[in-house]
Amino acid sequence: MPEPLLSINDLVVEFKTEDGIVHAVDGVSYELFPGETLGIVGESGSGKSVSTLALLGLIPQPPGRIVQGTAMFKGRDLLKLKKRELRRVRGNEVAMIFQDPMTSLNPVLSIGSQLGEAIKTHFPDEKDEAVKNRVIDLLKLVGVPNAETRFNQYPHEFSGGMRQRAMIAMAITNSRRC
Amino acid sequence: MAPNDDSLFPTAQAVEGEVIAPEGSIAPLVDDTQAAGLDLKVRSQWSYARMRFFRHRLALIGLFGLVIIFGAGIVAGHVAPYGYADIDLEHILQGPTHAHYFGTDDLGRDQFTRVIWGIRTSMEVGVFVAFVSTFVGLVVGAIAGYYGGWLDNLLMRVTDLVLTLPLLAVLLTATRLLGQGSQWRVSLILVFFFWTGIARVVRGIYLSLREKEYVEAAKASGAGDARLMFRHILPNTLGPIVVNATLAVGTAILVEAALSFLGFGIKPPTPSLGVLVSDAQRNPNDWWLTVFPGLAIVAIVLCINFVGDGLRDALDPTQRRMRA
Amino acid sequence: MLTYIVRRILYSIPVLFFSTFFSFLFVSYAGNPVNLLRQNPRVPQSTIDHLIHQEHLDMPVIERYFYWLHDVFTDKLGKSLVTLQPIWPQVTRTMGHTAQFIIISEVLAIILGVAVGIFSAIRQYSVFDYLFTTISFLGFAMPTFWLALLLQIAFTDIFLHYDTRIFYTSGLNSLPGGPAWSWDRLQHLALPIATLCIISFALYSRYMRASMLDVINSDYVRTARAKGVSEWRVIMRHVFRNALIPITTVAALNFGALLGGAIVTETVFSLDGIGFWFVQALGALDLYEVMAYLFVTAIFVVVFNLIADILYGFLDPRIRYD
Repeated sequence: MPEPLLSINDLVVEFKTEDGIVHAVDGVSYELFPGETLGIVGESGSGKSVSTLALLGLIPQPPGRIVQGTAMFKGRDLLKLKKRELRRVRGNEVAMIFQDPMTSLNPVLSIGSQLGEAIKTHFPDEKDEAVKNRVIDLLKLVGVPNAETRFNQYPHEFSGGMRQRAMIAMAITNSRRC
Repeated sequence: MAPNDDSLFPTAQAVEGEVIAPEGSIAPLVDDTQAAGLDLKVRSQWSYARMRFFRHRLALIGLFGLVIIFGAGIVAGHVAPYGYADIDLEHILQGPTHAHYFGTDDLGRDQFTRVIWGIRTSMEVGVFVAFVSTFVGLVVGAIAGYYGGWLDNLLMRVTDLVLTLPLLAVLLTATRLLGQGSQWRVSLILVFFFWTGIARVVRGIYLSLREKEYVEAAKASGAGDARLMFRHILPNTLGPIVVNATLAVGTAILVEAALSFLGFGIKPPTPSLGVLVSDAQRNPNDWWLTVFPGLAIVAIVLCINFVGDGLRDALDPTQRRMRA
Repeated sequence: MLTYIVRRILYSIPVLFFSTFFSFLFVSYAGNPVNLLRQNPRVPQSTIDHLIHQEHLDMPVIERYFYWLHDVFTDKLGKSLVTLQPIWPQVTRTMGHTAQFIIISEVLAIILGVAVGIFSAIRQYSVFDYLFTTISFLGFAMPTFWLALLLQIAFTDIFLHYDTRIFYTSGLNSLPGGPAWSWDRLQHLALPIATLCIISFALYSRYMRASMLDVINSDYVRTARAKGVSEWRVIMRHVFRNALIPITTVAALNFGALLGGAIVTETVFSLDGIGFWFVQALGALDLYEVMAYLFVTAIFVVVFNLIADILYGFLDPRIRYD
């Protein structure tokens, strides 16, 4: 029986609001095995986004708070990692693609530089030329036409669908498989 | 969601885990939810706004301060210990004492009395200018934003003209030429320039809401222009308008004080805090003559700004605030 | 980008034309220059007649406007009707002084305001934040002239009691016509600069703080964090640049208020600037000088707005391709 890649156990996340404490996530547990794709479904407000954001420490605390629970990934509890270690995991071992490509990309930076940032953050010694080529390859991979010209363009010049693909490309830059 | 004529805000909004909806419309839902053991809070928009306003401590302090200060201004005749023009040559240029809280000037006039009367004038000017300019701005902005086209263009060009020249300079010119030192003339001149600000805000709202679905829905069910403009879009402007108008009172008071200080605004015998400060320059080293009128202005405008801030928190739906 | 700039310039010209036209109409209607001259007993009838003919004062207002406009370009703003002296040298001299202290105040206010705004946002609800929020609120509520007076009184008091001059409380230099860039000038301008700076600082620090908070909570900042970017880089590269964008608009809108503040400050501190000159001219109902002031300041406002627009286009690529 293979080991689970990701193991969430009894995760509880609460938020302090003007009307008291809201339990956004109330005891969630699941396991994810290598090669598996897990779909989490639920109504609006059921805590899908919050539970996932909590894994990468993207819940602002305050007003949020991870009350209890563990998230074992490759033998480490993501929820207990120090800031520096967590940063090494983000975008490198665990990546996130956000729902709204319109607001999830920085409007004043070019697509190329934002994707390049994903690489340079974790591999600062890479040459600019190499990074640029890698980004262009990724854009081609996700199906963005005219990748060379698009590299220097800004998010508002991309259509909604292309923005989404750029976000996907950004998430998989450091994947060992692509 | 179809517009509900009984509420001021046509649609329900979901805010941070709560549902804000017109009272009575979702009562059955609430019953079911509570029966299932889940917690659900329902409030109407007004009580939500009211709650947010009163949470804002500074706004309450400001409101309290305004009640006291404006209250004193309203009943100036009864509160002031002396007459505005009472001369007392025995006690000229005295600092603050028990008999004269704010001291006396070079003619022995009680400064406390004069400041209170000055507050009254400032209050009248501020409220008048804010009220009238808001009304004018609302009408013009609504028409321009709703009908669009050349009417809107014209409005924009006019407001641009007003914005090109530095406000104080233009106001100084206008009051010098037309003001004649009269409080009401000066107020009207201020209105003439202040309405443009509100007009722009209102126009923006009308422009953006004109195309919204619920307006289309109302149109489809036969609503005329006037009904659409007043019943459906107007309520959405109330929030920003109230905030804008409140802050305008403060701005008007500051501007009038500057105009009067330079000698081009309100002139004696009408009391004015700006004139008091400028008179004080005959005796610059008697600090109380300069400080107290100015302090009155600061206190008023500060309180107004606190209240305006609280109102903005409570009423402006575009603000998302996460309280820590 | 170039077409954007050119379009803005072309648009400004008719706006300038109309605002000066309406100002002229208004100013002429409200105070007929001929009447004012007639009231002055020292001016002989022959001079009045000569002036009326020369300045076309017997023509209808609209024609007079175009004569004035002509004078603006050919005769460098023409001559004052009251002093009969050329206006242009007055304008250049006074504008230079005003520009000196306005620019220093504004630059200082922006730098300090932006810095405090950033820090207040990062350390929200801290003592630092509350302190500067209080200062900002006070800055918004204080009349500029009163702040100027307070500073003047305070430092005059210090001089009288301790017989030491830290900062001067009136004039541009100790001796009229002194050097523009000197320690003496600085001592004279310190208080006026402090006045305008405090008022503007309140504005910039507040707006920067609000802008920072807005950006810090935005989705794209979350994306940057999700990529593993360090907090320092997130603030510097993603938050700061986006937060700065609205400040250019604020600065542009503030320029008109700044000129107004200059009027008041120069009056209090008796500085030989264009604001003080304007107040004198207005008091004497010297219409051509008043028009000259409005015209010159309108141009500056337009130019400044243009610069702000260009800067905005530089910071925010979304509007470049309008």
